[in-house]
Amino acid sequence: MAAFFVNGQTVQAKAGLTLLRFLRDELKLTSVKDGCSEGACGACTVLIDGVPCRACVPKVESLEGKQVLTVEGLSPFEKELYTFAFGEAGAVQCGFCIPGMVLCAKSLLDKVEDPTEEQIRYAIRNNYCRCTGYVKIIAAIHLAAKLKKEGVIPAPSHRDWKLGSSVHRLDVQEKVLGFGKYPDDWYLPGMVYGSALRSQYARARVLGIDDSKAKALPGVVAIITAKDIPGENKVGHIKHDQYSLIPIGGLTHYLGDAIALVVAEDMATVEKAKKLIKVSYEPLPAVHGPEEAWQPDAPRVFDEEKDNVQAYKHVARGDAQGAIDKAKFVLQRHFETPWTEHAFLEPECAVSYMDEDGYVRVLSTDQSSHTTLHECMLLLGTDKVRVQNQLVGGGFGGKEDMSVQHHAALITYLTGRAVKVKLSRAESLLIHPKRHPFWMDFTIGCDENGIIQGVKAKVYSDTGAFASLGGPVLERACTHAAGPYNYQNFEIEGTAYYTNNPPAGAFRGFGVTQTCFAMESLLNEMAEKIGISPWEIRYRNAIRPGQELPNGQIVGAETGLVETLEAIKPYYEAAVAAGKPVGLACAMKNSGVGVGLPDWGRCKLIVEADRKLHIYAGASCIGQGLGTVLVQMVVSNTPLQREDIVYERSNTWIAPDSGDSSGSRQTLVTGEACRRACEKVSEALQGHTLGDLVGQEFYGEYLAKTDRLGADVPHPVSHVAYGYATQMAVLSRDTGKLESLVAVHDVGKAVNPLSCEGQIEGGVVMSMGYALREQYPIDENCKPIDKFGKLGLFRAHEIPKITAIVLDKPGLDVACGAIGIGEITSIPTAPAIAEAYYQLDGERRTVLPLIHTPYARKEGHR
Amino acid sequence: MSRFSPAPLAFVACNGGCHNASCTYGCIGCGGCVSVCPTGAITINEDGVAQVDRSGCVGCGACVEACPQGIIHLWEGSVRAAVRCSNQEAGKAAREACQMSCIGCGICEKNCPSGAAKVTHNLGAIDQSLCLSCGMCIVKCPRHAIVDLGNIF
Repeated sequence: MAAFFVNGQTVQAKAGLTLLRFLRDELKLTSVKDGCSEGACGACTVLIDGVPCRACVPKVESLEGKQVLTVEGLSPFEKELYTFAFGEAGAVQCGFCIPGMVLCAKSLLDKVEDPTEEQIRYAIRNNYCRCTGYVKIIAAIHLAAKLKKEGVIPAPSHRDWKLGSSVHRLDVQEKVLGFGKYPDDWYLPGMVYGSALRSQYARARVLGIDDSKAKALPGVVAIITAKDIPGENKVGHIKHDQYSLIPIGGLTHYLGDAIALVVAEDMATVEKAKKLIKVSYEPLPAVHGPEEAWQPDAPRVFDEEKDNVQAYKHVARGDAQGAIDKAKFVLQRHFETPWTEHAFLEPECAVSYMDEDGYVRVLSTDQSSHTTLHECMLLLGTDKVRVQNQLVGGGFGGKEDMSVQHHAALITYLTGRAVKVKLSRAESLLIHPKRHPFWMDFTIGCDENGIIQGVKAKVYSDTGAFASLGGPVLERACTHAAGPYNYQNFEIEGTAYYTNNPPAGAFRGFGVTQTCFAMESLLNEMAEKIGISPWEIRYRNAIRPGQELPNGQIVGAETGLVETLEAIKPYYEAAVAAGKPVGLACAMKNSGVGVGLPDWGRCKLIVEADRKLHIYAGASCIGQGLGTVLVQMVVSNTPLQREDIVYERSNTWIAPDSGDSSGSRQTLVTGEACRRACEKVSEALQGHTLGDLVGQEFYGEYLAKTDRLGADVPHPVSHVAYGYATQMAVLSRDTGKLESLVAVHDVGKAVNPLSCEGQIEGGVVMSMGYALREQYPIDENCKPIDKFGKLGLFRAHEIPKITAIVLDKPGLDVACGAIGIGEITSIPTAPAIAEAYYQLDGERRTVLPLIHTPYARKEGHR
Repeated sequence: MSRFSPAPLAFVACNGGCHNASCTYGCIGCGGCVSVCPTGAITINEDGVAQVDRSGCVGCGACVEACPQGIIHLWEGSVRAAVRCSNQEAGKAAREACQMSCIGCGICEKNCPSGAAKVTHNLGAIDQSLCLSCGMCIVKCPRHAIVDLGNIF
């Protein structure tokens, strides 16, 4: 036993536990987040004797007599101070890293009254944030220092919740003070723990599973294998090819395939039981990449498929080859982009239990509770499932697929027990789908004025062990490869291959981050060839309202690419005039699923007994701030005030299905559904108060109607709207490092401009990693070899000055003109940085992450 | 204050567990660093080994230049883990040389989440640019040769 103090109280702890496990499991201090349990992420930061420390590192017995502080133990003034400062600065997105950041800030401010920016960056340098790019967290700490000195917390600077107002997000307090619940924060009575035994080989046939010894181990509740599945074994977003459990006789597809689910009273027993399960395999040669996958005699990843092609897309309009043949200037280049890990701070976790009505209730962290519902229903063969979103600690595309939810549901269904299934960080890195690596050959032809005549491309990607969203990602990569320019001769052919690598799927940018790097890099080189600036070539070709995109769509009045170029021009010219190496790139990104797929936004507004209007939309808030967006929509479109409105987290039994938080779609699609429901509310409120309407429901729905790819119409509407952006990177000649980034984004109508900036800063820093440092190396056994702390994510002290500029351009006739911002923020960054390096040293870099930069990984530090 | 500064400060990579007796790599207690330190932040401790008072150090690097053994390094103020040993002998010899020596066992490297800890020439080393200051190497080092400059672990 060790005796020490936690938040001022004396505690006794059993030797052998880490401080993290003691604080969470014994004291239920769930503000201390478990992001990796390996010392890397910083989400479990507490103060020990005033010094920020990761709670997952020390054993309790080493803490005799020490003072441990968590955010629960802050003084009432400090709680108010940090809640206000982080809200006012817009520093809270998914919130998972925030309690740790707050404690770093407290430790700093306890010692330094008036810290410099450099001191603040260093105070949080060991804590990762994947959402914010740190900019607003640094601003929040600055503000906290000022207010702490003044001793008074003012009112928020924006109090009107109408569109365009930078109000504090509605979930700031629960995230800053750590009482908001992510699934892992639930400790239900009688809850057991479940975890999957993973395949030993990336590709092998399972010959037998002997679980007799594991079943006999005291504390083991159940061992579940494929034969126990009541419904369909294979689940999946679009294509059902993701095995929930590999059956005897079946093939394994990657090292993350689950062979058996182990359920026990505690995690130690789970791990012990896993070791007692004997699986016999026939190891088979694996497919390591597309170059192996397309060989005629290649091993097949799936028994069920005739080859390893997961998806093939061909997009053509006009005569690309003919236009290139006739063009005065032609460039042809090969480009490559890497695997990227989402590295959201919260690892996948689901808790499930039998609810009072005999339904399997799944508490999940995902990008759509309804998608989780559908896949769990498929697996269980019953519709008696309910899913409720908890706080989601970041997604970025990586939480669109089943990882733990279906396993948790299956365990509850079969055992009747409440269960928690959580991935270790190592499992998370292996299991959820990554960003696709792409290999791309592009040819572009321009006339003597730099006007694009035609573009032709051939690309392929590694989509790994199951389809996930590999097809749509490939499609978006192809449809957006042409760029936001006005020309009509375009052809692209793309193929996604199954391999035995970890799966690839959705990742912020959805294929466009890859092809945009190719197209924008080519455009930069072309500008030089012709003798005009990268800015000029874009300005000449930029798509303008009423013009026709290479996909045939005529763009609307809201199209603001030119405005983003004009807004960035002074920054660009100043950097060029100062002789600095500067790079530029543009991008477009769809809002909404598009290409003819049914894309519904649905929203139900219910006046409940508390005489407030409750917002129910089956759409996940994954840290992007959807709840705040919807409340601002309601305040703008009804006579109601903020205090009349309650935002309810997505569930599947009251909130209608409003699709995935994917494709930058929620603000526009669910926003418009919400606005339509608001019209009915406003009508009902004429001559009435909310109190008169108790029990009434107001339903709004919106179909974002589009034409399918290749539709035989003159001007197919591929997407209901596109966001546009221009970003610029400036390097320091002295250090060769990034000095500043400027990102100008056309968002139609910024619902919450501060939130928009936060999205931009976070997206830009994420793509700095993609451009310069992040990797996800996979070894010859198809095993990802890096830990979370080695991925190369940027830290607070390394980021350059980031200027985020949000442009409003009216014209879109839905959702009050708001276009999504989520993904495009990450798209043009990499080609802009690549061009800046070319300006620095004359080397054209066509592979990411860029080589020969000060950020490149050191030899031996794998 | 110094803890929140990126400024590097002097750090002597020797525990003095041998009391200068049998280790040829460690501090010899010559006092060269003491005499050049402009702020008087270095003293020779009871083990006969130079010790830096980091609150008084200004990071000028004079001691680094002066040290005949080459075992004083500038260490970033916010990087809390540091290998306080310079012995490059193989396991057994290093173990015999000093009670707190690094024996190059590699436990720090194995447990480091960020690839900062590496063993080369039988000696653990921490890359300051990669270190996340988590302290995992500090708590796992069986020889207590990695110290916590934050004075917690």
